Amino acid sequence: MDSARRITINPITRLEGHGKIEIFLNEQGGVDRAFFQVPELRGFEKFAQGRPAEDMPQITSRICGVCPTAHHMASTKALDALYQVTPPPAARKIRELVYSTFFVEDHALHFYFLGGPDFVVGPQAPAAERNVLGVIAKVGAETGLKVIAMRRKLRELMALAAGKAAHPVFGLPGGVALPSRASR
Amino acid sequence: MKPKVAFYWCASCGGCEEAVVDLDEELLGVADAVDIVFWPVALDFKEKDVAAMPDGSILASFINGAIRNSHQQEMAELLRAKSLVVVAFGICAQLGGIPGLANLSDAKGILAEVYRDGVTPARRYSENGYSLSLPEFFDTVVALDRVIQVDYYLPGCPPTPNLIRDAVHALLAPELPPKGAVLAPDHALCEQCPRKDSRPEKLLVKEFVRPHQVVADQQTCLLAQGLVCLGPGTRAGCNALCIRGNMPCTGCFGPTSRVRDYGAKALSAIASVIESNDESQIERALEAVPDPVGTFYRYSLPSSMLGRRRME
Repeated sequence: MDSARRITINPITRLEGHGKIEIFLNEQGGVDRAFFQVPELRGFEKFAQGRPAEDMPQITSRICGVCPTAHHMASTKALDALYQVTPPPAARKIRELVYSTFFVEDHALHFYFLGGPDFVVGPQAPAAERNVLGVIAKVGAETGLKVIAMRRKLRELMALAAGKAAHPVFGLPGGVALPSRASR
Repeated sequence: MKPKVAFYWCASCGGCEEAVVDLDEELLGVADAVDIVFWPVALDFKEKDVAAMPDGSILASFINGAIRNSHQQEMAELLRAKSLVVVAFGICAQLGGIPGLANLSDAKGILAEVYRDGVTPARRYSENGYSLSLPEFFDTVVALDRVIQVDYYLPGCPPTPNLIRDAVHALLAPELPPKGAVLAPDHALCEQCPRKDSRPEKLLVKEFVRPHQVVADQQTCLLAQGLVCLGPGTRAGCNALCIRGNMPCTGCFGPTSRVRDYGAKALSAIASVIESNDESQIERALEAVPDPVGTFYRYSLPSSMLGRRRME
């Protein structure tokens, strides 16, 4: 096939995971067929089987290290359902604190590091500039450092309650592993 | 000209990428000191950009993730050729990690479970005269050093930002660390555990408990409380984050340099604290460890002496 009629985007970038796009053009230069490929599979569906249920929050978080909190929390809630236990109000609030913190942090990550550069720096900018450093150059070091510091504080807050920000360890059926404390 | 650095991921989760982003303000310092020429999570450079570089033109490639399929192996080989130094970044690249638990099954078993009666991925596919291909999905997951030569290892799931920072400085220093070094402290986690002083001189337990079965005391050694904490068999470097979160160590930093098989060491460390010589009592004590392979080899099955489950 004429290489002028095949456009390969490999890899797709600035998201978690592996992806590849193949676009085939027709004689007129229009898109005839486009394929999105995910050239990876790890098989959590299989190897999670046979592991103790209470290990799931820590195993399934490894599905995605960018949003481990989402997987950790989903497994933890599944354990609540499995054991038919309702977390006490304090544990529920700790979970909500961690998840809300994660929500803000993850959105900041997406905007400044992952999806944002194409919009802030612009889609026509060279690849070397369409990244977080390009965003910082565009919005100014002061704003950039403010965002980085905010994200750092959010990650520290998550680690205080969840043990680790990258792959939390606090979810247990019916509650959390660590009570809240005034200081630590 | 600044030295060039690449980051890549194989069978992994992106947590190692997050760990680099967690350098926070220091990431700007790193970006000042080096040119990052490839990093799919954060930069839009393509595989063809790497392929076009002269061999040996990258100072260091930090590769995370296990080798699960042929594309990952090809990328590891490509980056090896382009790089003076390759660092196995994180426990998946070092020992196989959580994706290595797939070695309890094989390609056929995994594909059958994931795709059930649906369309199973094919190596080659064509439609309307256009042909596409997918990588080969291997039967067995291996660590990075089984497919390319690895110069340094950075353990952890993920490695902690302070270890990453130290590793970057070590590689930019005039004298490199000895080849093959694991860039983390070479002693057991217990030595840096905040609960170290509460660990009895002779630690013995009658029975084990699982984390959801007890309200663990926040000051006392978790193993002394009967929780299966793998700190005694695990390399330090994480600052005991899980234990500070009141949960036992699951071994994500792998072994110290004196240990060949992490799981065997962890199993032996746990077995040696059972306070009984009576077989039925020992059996009862081990009821709280219903999944020995997933407990002791959670992050290291591919690099263990057995490597994988033997399929019928």
